[in-house]
Amino acid sequence: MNFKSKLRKNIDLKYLMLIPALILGQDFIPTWYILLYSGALSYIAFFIPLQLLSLLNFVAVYFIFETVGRMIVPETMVPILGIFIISRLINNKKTKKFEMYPLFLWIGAFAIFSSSFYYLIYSLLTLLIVFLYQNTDKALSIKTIFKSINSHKKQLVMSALITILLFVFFPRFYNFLPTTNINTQGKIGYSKKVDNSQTSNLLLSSQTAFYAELSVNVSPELLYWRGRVHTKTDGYNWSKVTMDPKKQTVKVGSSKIIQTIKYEQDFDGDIILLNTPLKMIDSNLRIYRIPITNEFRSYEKKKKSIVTAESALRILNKTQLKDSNRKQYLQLPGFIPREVKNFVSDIKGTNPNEVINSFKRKLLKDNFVYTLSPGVMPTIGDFLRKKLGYCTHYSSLLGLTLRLKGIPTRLVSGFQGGQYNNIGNFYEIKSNDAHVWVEYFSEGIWKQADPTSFISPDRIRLGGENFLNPGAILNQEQETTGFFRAFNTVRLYFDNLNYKISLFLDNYDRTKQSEISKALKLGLKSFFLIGFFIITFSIGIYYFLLKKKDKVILHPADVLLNKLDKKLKKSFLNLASQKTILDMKHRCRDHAQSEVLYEFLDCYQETRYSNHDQLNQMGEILKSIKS
Amino acid sequence: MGFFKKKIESFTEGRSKVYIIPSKDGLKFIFINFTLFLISLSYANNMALLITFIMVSYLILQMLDAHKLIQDTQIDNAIISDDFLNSMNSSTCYFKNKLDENKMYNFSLEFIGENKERITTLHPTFHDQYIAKYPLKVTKRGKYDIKSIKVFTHGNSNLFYVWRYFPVKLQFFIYPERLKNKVHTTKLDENKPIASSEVEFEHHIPYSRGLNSKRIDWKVYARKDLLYWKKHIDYNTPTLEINYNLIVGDKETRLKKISYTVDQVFKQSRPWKLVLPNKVLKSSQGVKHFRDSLEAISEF
Repeated sequence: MNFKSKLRKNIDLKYLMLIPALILGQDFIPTWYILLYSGALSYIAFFIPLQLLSLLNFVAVYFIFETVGRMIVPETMVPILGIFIISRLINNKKTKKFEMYPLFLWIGAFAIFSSSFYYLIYSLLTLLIVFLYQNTDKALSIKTIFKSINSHKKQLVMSALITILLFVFFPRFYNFLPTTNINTQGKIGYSKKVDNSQTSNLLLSSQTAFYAELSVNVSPELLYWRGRVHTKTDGYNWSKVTMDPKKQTVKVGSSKIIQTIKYEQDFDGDIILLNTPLKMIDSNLRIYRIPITNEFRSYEKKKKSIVTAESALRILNKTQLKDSNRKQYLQLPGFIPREVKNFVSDIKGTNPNEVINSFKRKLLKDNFVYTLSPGVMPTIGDFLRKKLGYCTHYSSLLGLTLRLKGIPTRLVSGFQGGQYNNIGNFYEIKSNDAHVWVEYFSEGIWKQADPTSFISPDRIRLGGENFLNPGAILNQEQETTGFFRAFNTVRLYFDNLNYKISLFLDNYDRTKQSEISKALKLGLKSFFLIGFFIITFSIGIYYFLLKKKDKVILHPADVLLNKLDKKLKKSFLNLASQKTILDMKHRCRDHAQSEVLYEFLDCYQETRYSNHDQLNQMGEILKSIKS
Repeated sequence: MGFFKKKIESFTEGRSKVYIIPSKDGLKFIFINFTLFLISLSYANNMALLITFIMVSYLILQMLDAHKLIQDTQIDNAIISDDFLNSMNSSTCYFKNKLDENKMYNFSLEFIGENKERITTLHPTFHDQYIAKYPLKVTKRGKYDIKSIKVFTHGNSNLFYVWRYFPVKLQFFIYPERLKNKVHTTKLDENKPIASSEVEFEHHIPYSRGLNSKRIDWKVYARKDLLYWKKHIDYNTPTLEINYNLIVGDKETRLKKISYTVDQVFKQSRPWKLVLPNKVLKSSQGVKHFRDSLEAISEF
């Protein structure tokens, strides 16, 4: 195939502008898919596309379903949309017809998943470029962009105004469509179930799980974000058992910490709070508490939610464990493998502290290693033989050991660590920070033990993201050098802006609307009505402004004719007002410079009504004419 | 070059309603907007909601713009010419728009007949940035009576279909296509001998002022004392009879052949007589006769 003949003269920027959406959506789409589609889009941008290209999409969708699972959920629907959009774009390019909606669809589809300041800027920029494309016939350059913005400023201002007004006043209704969560097995992240026998190697994921603002600064090794409590075990895997939710008051310890947490992911109704949570202060969700396990859960599954709660790092008040609950915390599988029996027999003592210390010594002595890729280990025996694993494996082993020693134990899944942003004073907790640890009951208090810290203290000291993600460590190490320090500061500022804007965007919901309406001393209904009235009123004003006469863009020959009129003001020729060139010549008849004027008008006729451009000649004649 | 140009007067006086509906693309756009809106509202995703609101505002502005575009339209000097079928390149309509005189928008025209039937739709072809031409795309010969012109556009964004009717009174003819042939033509005066000389004396007519005095027959004057003028026949340009009934073929082919012959005879500036089953045009020549003949064929 002759590529040169297919190469376009002007690069189609609008197709290239679709690629950043893929990169921003990397949290929920595989890397190979991003590369594939970026390639396809760049091909469309530079070449006249082949029809074969759309076949590629079907292959991509097959692989997406293979890796993600055959579920009709929004996340898997994006690749299917991908087929549709790409085939539309190919078709558009072939027919040279421009359709607006595939681009909007593309941007909208990604907006559902990646809500951030970066995405907002990106989408606005793309829409602006697409809008300008539509309104300029010539190839885009910086000059034409500014010219186009200038001539469309009324529309741009108006669309921004309508958008903001709609955002502020439009009533919100939640959860009327069914949702399913995507299966994220094999990727590091919050675990709703400690499933050691199914998972093998874990992939890293730097997706932001949630943001947290704390009233006091806490050192990273103490940052345990408590989520779900698992009490039932089969000797290797742990899962949750619904317990009798009776009210239990937890008395507050010495150091209280107020936290505001903004969730970026859906945790299946679990509310993740700093360990140990005491009470809920404020939230846009309806939340209940399970006192026995001290878990907080919400009635609705909502991705973007904000919670303010109170926690304490240490609880001093003692509680009693009921016999029925004690039984659940000591539940063991019917069969204990030989490897586990051998392992536990080496651990001495009956006191929890002694058992844990002995467990630590045993792990270090036997050279157990912390790794995210231990390979497939279907049974606990495999794990004890291989001596490789991550937090869930070690927590599971410690939990089992403590239960075998008769100590009530439970596993807690949540997060540990978090990156502190000193500019915005908040912590950013990512999927990489996901963690599982052990809680045991001793001396009337549930105490915490983290076996991962025995094997890999750095994982706890640095936090998951900094420890696991080589890029994050690099950033920290290079903070000392000038350039990277400046770069890092800029990044922190951007992260702060991102957090604050997305906090505002996601926080603006029904409760916020009712707050505003209360502050304005209005009912919620009249607030909406007034909003719609304002919107229609502003549209009316815009239409009225549109009716006003705009500045007329003149043909360059007409511009010169007007200049001539200005120059010959005294002789009152007013050539531009004449309808035909004959009329113009008729008016020039008695003028002293009539011959030169005739020449000028001949050039004007040539330029204006045929394709012979004689503008330069006209300019020269104009100079020679005396006023 | 077109024949017989007919100028439409500027017809912006009678203000008519502007109609607006979403186009095919617009419907797709609205559907996507609505789906995204439902999803974002249900998931409480304000980011996606913001994008749907941007889409809504874009839609509103495009609707207002499209409405204004057609409302401000004026038609100046729409010229339509009668012409032979399949040679329609001469008809041009020049638009004048209040907004921007020199920018040609993608306006299309639709000619609407007496019984509100669509006669033809004209799409502009752009010569350059400033001049748009509307070639007539009529596929049937005949007489066309236009009662109104529908001016419509999809706007700049292609999202809306906006139109408006302009009432006009206009009639134009599309002549049958010219089919090159050897039409059997008969000379009008067949029994007249063809003399060796080119010009043959026919008879005398009384002299009146304005006739060439060189042809006054002085012999008759000498005998009768009356001025008689000699009338001659030019046998090199004989009058032809084009008879529909003598031509071979079906109706359309016959008309096509006649169309060609009339055109040829007119170009040779010879007189002709046209015989159609419903009409007989007397022998004559000149532009008017040419036009009458062609109109008669088109109407037949």
